Amino acid sequence: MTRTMVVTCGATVPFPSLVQAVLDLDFLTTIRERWNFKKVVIQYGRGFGGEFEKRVKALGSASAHGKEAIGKASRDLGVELEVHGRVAAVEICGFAFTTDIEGLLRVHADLVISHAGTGSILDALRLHKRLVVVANTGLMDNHQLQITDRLRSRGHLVAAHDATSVAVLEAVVSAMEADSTTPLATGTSEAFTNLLLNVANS
Amino acid sequence: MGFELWLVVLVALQWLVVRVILVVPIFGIQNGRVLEAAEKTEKGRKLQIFVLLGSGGHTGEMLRLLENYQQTLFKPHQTKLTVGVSDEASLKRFKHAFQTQLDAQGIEVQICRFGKAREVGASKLQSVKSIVLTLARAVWTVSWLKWQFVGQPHLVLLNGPGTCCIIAGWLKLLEIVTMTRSKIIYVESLARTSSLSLSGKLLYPLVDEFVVQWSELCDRYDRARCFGILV
Repeated sequence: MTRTMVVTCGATVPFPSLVQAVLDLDFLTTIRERWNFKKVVIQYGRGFGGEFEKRVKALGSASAHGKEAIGKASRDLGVELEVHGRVAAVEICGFAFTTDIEGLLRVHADLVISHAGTGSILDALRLHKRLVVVANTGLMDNHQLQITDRLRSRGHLVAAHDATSVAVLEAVVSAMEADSTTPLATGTSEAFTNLLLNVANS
Repeated sequence: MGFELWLVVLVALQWLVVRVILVVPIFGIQNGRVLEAAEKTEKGRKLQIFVLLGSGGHTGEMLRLLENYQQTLFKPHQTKLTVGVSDEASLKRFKHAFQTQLDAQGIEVQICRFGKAREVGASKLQSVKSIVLTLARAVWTVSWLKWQFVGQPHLVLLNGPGTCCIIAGWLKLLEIVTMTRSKIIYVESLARTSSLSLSGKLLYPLVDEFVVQWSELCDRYDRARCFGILV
C-alpha cells in the first residue's frame, strides 16, 4: 500500500520552516522507505508558490513534468496544483489554497502534518486522521501553542517540538507507531441546543 | 427653571441607572434562569439570527458552529439570517458552505459589512484610527439590525473578533434606551484554553449568555457556561 501525506501550512500566513522541514532529502527518503509514503501534498498558503517551486527545484526535482502531469495530478487530488515534481522518489504536489481541504484530507490523507490553526486541527481530527501539529512560533501570539498542548495532553494528536526536519520526523514516528489516538467528540451538545432556543425565544 | 431642568435630568439619570441594572446581566437580575427543554418558535414569526464572521480562525469557528447547530438555527421558511462580514474571504467561505442549502430551505439571507476593528499586529495609533472609523459604520449597521429585531424572536451569535465589542455594546445600549430586548450569546474561541480574549473580557459582563469551550475557564468565571468543544 502506498501512502499519502498532506501538509497544511495555513492559507494566509506562510510557514517557511515547515515547508523546509518537509522538503528535506533525508525526511522524504525516510518516510518513503519506512512507511511507503509515495506522495506528499503541501498547501503552502497564498503568495508562497514561487518560493516553493524554487525549493523543490533546488532539491534536483525531476520536474520534466509538463502540463499533462500536473493536470492529471490535480484531477486525482481534486485541487488545482501549482507545483508538481519528484524528489527522492516521492511525488511532491504543491498548491496555495483550496476551499475544500476537508475533501482532500478525507479521501487522500494517511497522515496529516498541520500548522496549529484551530481549523486545520479540527478538520484532521474530525476525520480521524493521524495528526502531527507543528506550531508556528514565529507568530505573535501563543494561542497556537496553547491549543496544541491541550489537545496533545488529551492524546488527540502528536506535537513536534520544533519546525525542523528532525523534530517533525520524530513526531511522524510517534504518530505512525501509535496504536490509536483519542477521537475528538463531535461538537454537538443538546444542552447548548437548548441554550440557543431558550435565549432566542425568551 | 434651572431647578426643574435639573429635576428632569436627575429623573432621566435615575431611570438610566435602573435600566442598566435591569439589562446588564452581570448585575444578576436575570440569573437563576434554568435551562429547560426548549420552547418552539411561535408559528408565523420568523426567527432572526445574526452572526458575525470576523476573519480567519474566528470565521472558521463560527462556520463550524453554524454547521453543528444548523438544525436548531435554520428552520426552513422560518428563519431570517443576517451575516455580518469584515472580509471577502469569510463571505466566500460562508457561501461555499451554506448558500445552496439555505436557498433550498427557503431561508432568507442578508449580508451586511463591517470594517475590521483592529488588524492583527497593528500599532496603537493605527488601531485607534481604524476603531473610530469602524465604530461609525458599525453603529449605523447595528441600529438597522436592531430595528428588525424589535418584537421578533432573535439571536445574536458572536465569537470574538474585535468588531464584536462594538456590536454587542451598541445593541445593549439600544436595549437600555429603547426598552426592547437584544439577545446575545458569546462563544469564546477554542484557542482560549486558560484565559479569556480581550473581546471576551469586555463582553463577559454584557452578553446574555457567555459560553467557553474549556472547563478550566468555566471554573474561573462564574457566568461562563461550558458544553465542551462546540466547533
